[in-house]
Amino acid sequence: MAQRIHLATATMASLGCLLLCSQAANAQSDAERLQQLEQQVANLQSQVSSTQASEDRLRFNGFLSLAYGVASNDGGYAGYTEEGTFNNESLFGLQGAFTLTDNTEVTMQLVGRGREDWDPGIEWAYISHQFTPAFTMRAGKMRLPLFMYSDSLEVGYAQPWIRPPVEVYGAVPVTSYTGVDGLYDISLDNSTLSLQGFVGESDETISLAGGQVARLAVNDLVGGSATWTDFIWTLRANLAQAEITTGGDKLDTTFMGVGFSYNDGTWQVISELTSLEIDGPTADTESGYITLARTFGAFSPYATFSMTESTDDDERPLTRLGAFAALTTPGSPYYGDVSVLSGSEIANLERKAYSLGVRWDVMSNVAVKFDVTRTSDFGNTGGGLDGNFAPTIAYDDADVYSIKIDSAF
Amino acid sequence: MMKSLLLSLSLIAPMALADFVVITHPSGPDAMEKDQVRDLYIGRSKQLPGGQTADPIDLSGGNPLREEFHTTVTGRSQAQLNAFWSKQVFTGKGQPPRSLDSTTAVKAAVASTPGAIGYIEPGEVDGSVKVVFTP
Repeated sequence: MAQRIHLATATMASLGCLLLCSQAANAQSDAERLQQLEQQVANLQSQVSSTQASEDRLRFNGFLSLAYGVASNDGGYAGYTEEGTFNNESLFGLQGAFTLTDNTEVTMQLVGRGREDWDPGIEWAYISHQFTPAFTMRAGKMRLPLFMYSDSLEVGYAQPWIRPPVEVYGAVPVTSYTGVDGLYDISLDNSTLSLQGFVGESDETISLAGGQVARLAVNDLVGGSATWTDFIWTLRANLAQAEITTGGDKLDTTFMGVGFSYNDGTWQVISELTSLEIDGPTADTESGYITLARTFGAFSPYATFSMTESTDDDERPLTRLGAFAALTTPGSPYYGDVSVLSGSEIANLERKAYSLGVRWDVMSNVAVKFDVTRTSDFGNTGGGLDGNFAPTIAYDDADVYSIKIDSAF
Repeated sequence: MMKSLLLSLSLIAPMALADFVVITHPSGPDAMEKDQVRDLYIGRSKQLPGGQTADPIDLSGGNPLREEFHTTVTGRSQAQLNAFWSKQVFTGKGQPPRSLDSTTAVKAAVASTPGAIGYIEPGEVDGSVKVVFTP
């Protein structure tokens, strides 16, 4: 209210001045008068907009992605089969940020995905407080910051690719956690080092290969990351530890990642290497990718090579056929227990993928992307494809063709 | 023929772009480096040299001077800037600078707001603002 009165007074004063100025300006040339008027209007404009800025306590932003993809076979790579679908990677997000005080903010983000019948769920819900310009703490539900693009995982418009490389980003089925984090920025000469520490837990239903779902609990989650950037170069390293539970066993899990990116406005190079170690026969994996992109005006073609492999195959002596026999034979101690599969050679993993694509910035805040990804080189494994979660390996490669419209508003 | 056409285009193109100067409120610093200006416009720094809280002001999208400023200072195209800000916004890391429709409005706002920084055409500069960077 005080601001409105202030604005009204300012407006009246300016209008008054407009009248007086124009009277006094009789002797002046039209050009000068016009310039004065322009300046007055500009003053008013800036008063109005600064008043709006201070009243702007609630902000809404959104993003929307519509994707269509089809694969060369029914292996299910990247979620696609021979029957093309719009639902797999289409989604929308709606974010509201409410400013409580100058330093405290509440942020909520709803995401609805086509593959989940567009039912919106809360992906972020946290309160953040800036204790000093360099130190912020947040508490609530947040993204699990394991990868360079974790925070903007589903904001396709912010990414060069049609999707983050599946070999790396698909290695961890949990994408958010509930807990507390601290962010500390250190300003160096012309660059910034950001340190992040987090603790928390998560408990959600995840989809497994072969269309299975399981409850995955993540407890005693603790981790941190260090990111250095001078705006052109970015270097990042992170580490996280947790105790995970699927079914009965509590398994100590360690995640490590390093990444770098280079972006000079024309060329862009992004690479990440990650390692996931889980106690027991559940597969440990090492993954990585490198992307090269170049911008030609509105077009930014890219090429990506990515790979993933399991590193503890000797911990899973049970054969593929043996595991399915144990699962399906009445009287077997593992009868009906799908966890026997993840402890057998079915969980062995080897896969490479090559992507060629282009991001086309059609108009402000809308990008269209085309991508062809070929995956192969599964070795003796099923390559982690859903379709190979069976007594015999049916697919030893796959091509996925996709098109996507990404927007942010 | 093609070569000489390209050559003449490459000579003409930079000339066709508008010039800009970076200005602050008269209480602002005497001079700034290009990277200091850039860091304010990408939200990496919140203070002017000297410690004043900065209020960076951009021109609205579609303004040719905005494109020229960002090509020179942040090195990013408008699409790349939009992608950058969508990443910042949806990760809670910040909001883009406020923007105004004209250089006249920018000059007026900078002249009347301590800490404000903006960019206008060189010919518009007068005593109400201070030039801190010329490309």
